[in-house]
Amino acid sequence: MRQSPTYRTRLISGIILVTTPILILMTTKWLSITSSLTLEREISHINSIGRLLGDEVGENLEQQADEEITEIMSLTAKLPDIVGVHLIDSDGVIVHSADSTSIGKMAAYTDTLTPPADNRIVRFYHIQEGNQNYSIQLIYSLIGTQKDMGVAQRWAIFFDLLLFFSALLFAWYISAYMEKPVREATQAAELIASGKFDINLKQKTQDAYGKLIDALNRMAQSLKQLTYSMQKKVDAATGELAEKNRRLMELDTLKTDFVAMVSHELRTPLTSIIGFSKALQREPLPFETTVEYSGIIEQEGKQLAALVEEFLDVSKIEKGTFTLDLAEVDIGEVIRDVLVSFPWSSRVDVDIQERMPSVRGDAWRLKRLLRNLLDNAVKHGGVEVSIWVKAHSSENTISVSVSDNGPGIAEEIRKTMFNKYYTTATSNGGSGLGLAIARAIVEAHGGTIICDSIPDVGTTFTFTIPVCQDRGSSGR
Amino acid sequence: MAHRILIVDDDPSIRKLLKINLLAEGYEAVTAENGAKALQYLDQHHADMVILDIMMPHMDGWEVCKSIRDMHPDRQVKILILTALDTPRDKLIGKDLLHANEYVTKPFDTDELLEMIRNMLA
Repeated sequence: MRQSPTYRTRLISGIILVTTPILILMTTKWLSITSSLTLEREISHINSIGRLLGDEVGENLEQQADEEITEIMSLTAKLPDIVGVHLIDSDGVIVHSADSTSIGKMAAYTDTLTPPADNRIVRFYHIQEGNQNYSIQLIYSLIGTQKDMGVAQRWAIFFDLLLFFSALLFAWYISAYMEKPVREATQAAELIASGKFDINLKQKTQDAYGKLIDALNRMAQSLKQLTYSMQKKVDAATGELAEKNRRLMELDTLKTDFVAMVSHELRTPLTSIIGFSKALQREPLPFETTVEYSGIIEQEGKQLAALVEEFLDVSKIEKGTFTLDLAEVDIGEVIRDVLVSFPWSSRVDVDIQERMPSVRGDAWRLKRLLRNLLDNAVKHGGVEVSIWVKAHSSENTISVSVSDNGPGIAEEIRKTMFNKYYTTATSNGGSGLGLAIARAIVEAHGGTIICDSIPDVGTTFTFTIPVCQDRGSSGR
Repeated sequence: MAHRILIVDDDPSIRKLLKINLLAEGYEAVTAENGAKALQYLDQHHADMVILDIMMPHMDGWEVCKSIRDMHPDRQVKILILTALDTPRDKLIGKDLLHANEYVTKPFDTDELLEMIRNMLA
């Protein structure tokens, strides 16, 4: 807004600068033309009177009718602005005059006279009578004309001033009119700058201002759209970031729990090994006691070894180097082998289909898989749990299921329990790697593992792996 | 009369290890394989000390510790937490928040543990 007075002042000054000299020039010229035209008109008027008078006086001089001459001259002198009518002889002496006191005197003017000097017009009209030369002198006063000219001059100045102020007003109005869209555009631009894009300026003209308004409207519209899409992108990114952050925090908690679990799983057998070793060293013990203690040390050592094996497997799964030691495997034999060394085998009911086709697999790992599932059943169901192991084959696959009548697994837990490091708060007896390894073992065999569970009824883990195709062809 | 010590741990080997050492030192040692059984025992019997594992299924050692302190607000029962958890945070929870008398991490030195128990019961 600070620029607008300058802009208006400039415009108004420009209009004044242009109009003033034009007005002055026009007035001067008009006055001079008027005055010369008036003078010419007066002169031609006098000439026509003079010539008429000359003709009349010439005729009367011929007839020597002096009274007639005097009467004509008196009548002429009564015409407006005529101040003197004389008949002069060749010596310059007035012989007849409208004013009788002038007769016999020398004429005041001897030559024609044109204003502005003396404000009079003097004209002579020659008459020849016999051998005598006369001339009629007409004296015309310009005072009346000059009065009229003065009035005309005053009117001219009045109109000049009127025109000048009209121009001024016009300039004022025009500048305000031209400034208005600029002011509106400035306000709109300021609104846009402050982030308010809902301007809707009316485009009244198709000129540069109209185009400016149109451009501003379109700019605001695109800015609004841009801001909206940016906001949407930012919102999406923020949501994504929050989700990632939440998952990271979840992972962090899992890792913390895992570290605590690993610590527990490693330190508990170590405590036994160290403690019983020390007990063995302390004093001579009965043979049975020595056997019992060393048996505990061996068992705990094996537990540690199995745990180390699990960690190594997970490390291989993570690196993608988890491989199987493949051979033809009888799945019934695997189940029976596992149950022989399972402490709670009396609680397990086994149902293996007769003449099960063999699979191509890693017997040791399949045993671990089964052992893991059985351990889980006891861990969550308690030692009073009942377990059913079933194995049967279909056309191309064999399925093994481990069911229990334990407390069941909630659906949200089932979603994540095959992930690494996952353990439940109530299962302090595991590394959290068991099911992740179980899945890796099954998938490495080209199979799948699923879990069905009904709370307070029980849980069934079922893994399915393809049968050995070679065996099928060789058995023919 | 010998002091009675209740051993609470889900691992049978640890229970056995502690029991033989405590018996050898002349204490009366009883064991419980989970928190519920430990609280049940304490409800009916007196014990001078409880050796308490933390990471146990179903009811963890923190809960057992809190229940014992609620049961006997005079803190006459000494509590020794024996766990694999070794972060400063866990120690703070055990000693300052749940008012356990001692906090020992696994694996432990048998002689040092016995020395500590002796001092606690002195």
